[in-house]
Amino acid sequence: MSGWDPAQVELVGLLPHTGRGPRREGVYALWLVLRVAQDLMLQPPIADRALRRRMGALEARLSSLTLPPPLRRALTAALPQLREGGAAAVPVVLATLVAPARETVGHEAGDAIQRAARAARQGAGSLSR
Amino acid sequence: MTSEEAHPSGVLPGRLPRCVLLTPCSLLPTPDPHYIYSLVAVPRILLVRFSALGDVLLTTPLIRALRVRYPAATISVLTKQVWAPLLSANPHLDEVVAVAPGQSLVPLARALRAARFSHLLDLHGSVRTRVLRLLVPGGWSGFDARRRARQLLIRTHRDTYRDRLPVAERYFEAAHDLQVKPDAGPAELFTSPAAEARAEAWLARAGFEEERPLVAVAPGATHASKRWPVRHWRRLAAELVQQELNVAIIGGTADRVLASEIAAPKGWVISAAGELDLQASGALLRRCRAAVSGDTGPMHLATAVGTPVVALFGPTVEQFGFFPYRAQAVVLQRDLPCRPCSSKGGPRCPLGHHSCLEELAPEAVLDRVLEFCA
Repeated sequence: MSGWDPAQVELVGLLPHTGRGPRREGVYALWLVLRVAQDLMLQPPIADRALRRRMGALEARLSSLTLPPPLRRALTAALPQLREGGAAAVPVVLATLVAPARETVGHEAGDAIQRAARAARQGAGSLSR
Repeated sequence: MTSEEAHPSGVLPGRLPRCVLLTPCSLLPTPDPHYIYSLVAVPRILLVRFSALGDVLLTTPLIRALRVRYPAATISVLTKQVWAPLLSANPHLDEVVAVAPGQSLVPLARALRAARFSHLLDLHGSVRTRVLRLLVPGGWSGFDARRRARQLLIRTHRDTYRDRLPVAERYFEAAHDLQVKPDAGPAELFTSPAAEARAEAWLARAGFEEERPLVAVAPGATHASKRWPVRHWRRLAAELVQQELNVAIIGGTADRVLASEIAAPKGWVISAAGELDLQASGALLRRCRAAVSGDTGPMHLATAVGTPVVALFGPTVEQFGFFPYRAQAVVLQRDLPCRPCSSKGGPRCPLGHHSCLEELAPEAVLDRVLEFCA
């Protein structure tokens, strides 16, 4: 489990400073998606069955949250991309989440996702070499 | 009886009965694996409830039951720093882990992982505890907060609650594996000798007439729609004084203004709002003959120290699980079609009339208080 990645730590660190409600749940949703996305890039890759199970659990958890609408739309679009694209889709998916995260949850969350996207791009580059 | 003499059961002392030795395992009744575990291992239990006053106090029946069932267990509670005094003197606990305002969950999660708890009970079900559950892998369990039934009751007034279980007993669902049951006792607040001394000092400063019994009133509430109107409180306080009772107003710093509107400048109605901490407020409540409160934390504080309570319920109802728990209490509420309108109260009555509390007459409350004081 990649629980202590800097971007994840940053998002978890934002939780106590974010007021209760859709914003806090937005930070939580971003953290959940980031965890799954980063685990997709693990070497050796996680088994297909485990991946399907995790994506299903993530989808179920996100559906129970009260999220700001733009973030919900972005996350709804991101999940199928992650499911189908696997590790290769991670940098793109994270990059598409930066703007809605900034707009709805705050700059700090957006910046954390952006850093995670950059790290994923570099990670994907080194994997392909 | 010599050592070789048979016991009345037919079994020689120090030897297993032959029939048991020869019985195939598949024929023996299969005991619950959790029960076997409870016999051989000493559990390390963490209960997580971050807030608020009433909810934290309502975890104490579970803590007590756990201690009775597992005298040697390590029992810890994780809560916000502001509520830690509610549990700091609890003899059933080994440790209270307090989270400072704004403290990140990451170092906390690291510490909890290192502590290797065998049972992690999520008694909150909030975003923070969900994050903690993922950061600290282990034997987590939660309870059903009946959120769906609550929302349905508020929005459609259809009661789909399958039981009337108080919140304090819902927490036991999280401890299902530990096989504990409610002991029919109330919530508890243990106060330190220092807190008792602070309460005594406040009483001495207040200068109440000692022969008059003391009654506490708690007019504050976080959400305005849960507050009984100030004019009712003022009237009640005046009536209580007429009945030769002393009145202490209990509350936090945020309730100071409200308390000053009720306190009589030269009378026997004196405000302790914002002057006493949680422990000392509990100690003061213990010295009262009765307490009057809305559906708020001080109501649970009073029940936790064994003071009879007159509880005034407006926007919330019994189904939510926050009626005074296993205590000497009377709940006053109006039977209105608009109730409940909210789970925690709101800034104003959604219909604007606030009849649920406006129509609870001070005289009715006074009668109940006098019954307790008689």
